Amino acid sequence: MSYFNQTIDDITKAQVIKGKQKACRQVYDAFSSAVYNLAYRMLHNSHDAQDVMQNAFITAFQKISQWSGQVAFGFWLRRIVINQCLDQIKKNHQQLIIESQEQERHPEGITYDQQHDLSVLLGKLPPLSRSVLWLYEVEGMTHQEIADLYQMSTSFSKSQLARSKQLLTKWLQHKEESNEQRL
Amino acid sequence: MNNAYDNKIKHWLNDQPQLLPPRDGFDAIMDQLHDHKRKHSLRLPAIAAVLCLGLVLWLVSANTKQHEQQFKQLNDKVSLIEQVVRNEVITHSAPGSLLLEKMVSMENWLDQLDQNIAQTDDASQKLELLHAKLEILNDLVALHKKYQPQSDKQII
Repeated sequence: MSYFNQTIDDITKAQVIKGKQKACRQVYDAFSSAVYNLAYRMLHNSHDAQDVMQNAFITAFQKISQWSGQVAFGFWLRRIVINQCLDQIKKNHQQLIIESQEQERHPEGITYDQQHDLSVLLGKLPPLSRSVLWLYEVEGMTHQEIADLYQMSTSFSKSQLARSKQLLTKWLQHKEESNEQRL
Repeated sequence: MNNAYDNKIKHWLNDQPQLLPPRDGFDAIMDQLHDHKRKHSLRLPAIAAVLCLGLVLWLVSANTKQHEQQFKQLNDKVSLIEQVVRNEVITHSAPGSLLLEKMVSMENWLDQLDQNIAQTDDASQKLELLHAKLEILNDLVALHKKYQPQSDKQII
């Protein structure tokens, strides 16, 4: 369920354009949780998520005059957040590719203690697959919307989603098998 | 089997607890916004200052060029007159006359002015000295004109 379906009124927009702190605070309070959560789920790193949240709000406050009002403000803001996250993923690209390849090769390397928390498994997914999974399953975006954001084809979005589900399923099965063996 | 896992994953993802963003996030955002605005507000005066400086430098350089051109023109003019005046052969029919003494004294001044011009590096002072030289040369030409008809009469 997306928390970005809220919007703001014209008065708040005008006050944010003028740089009024009260209006900015109002927008921040309404969306900070959604922004931080989306950034964290896509990046799986609290420090990076904090940076993305900060940059996304700065961009939104500076460019709010470009928001036409045709879509809810939250969805416009979400697009900024996703773009910032993609930039961050690109920044960490090399490092993350190496890490994710290691994890794919050794899924059994995940210990029982880590497996009990599925969010750890989510963190083990390659960043692009994880972000596509989150946008599709939680944010409710279509493959076309995801493909547009990533500037890729819809088959990219579909294959990333399938890949992430396949990996999670594999790990979950492995977890269940090891649980049965313990019993 | 896989469908069951798909549903499990979907539910699990949607049931994830909401994380709390850091408390001081808003202050950091506003600080950065103000910093950005401050930088923007300084940018215009900085551009204006650079433009003004450029204009001043251009004016100074144009003025210097004008001075150099003026100096060159004056120098050419003075050299030409000096060459004509100094090369003119005068028949000294009246040695020790006041007129002749005045001419000699003027020629001495010209030599002195040449020395002063060669010694100074100040463009405006050089220009003044050249003007002075031109005045003396004009006087000298006038004296030459005064002297010339008498010598002509004597020759005839």
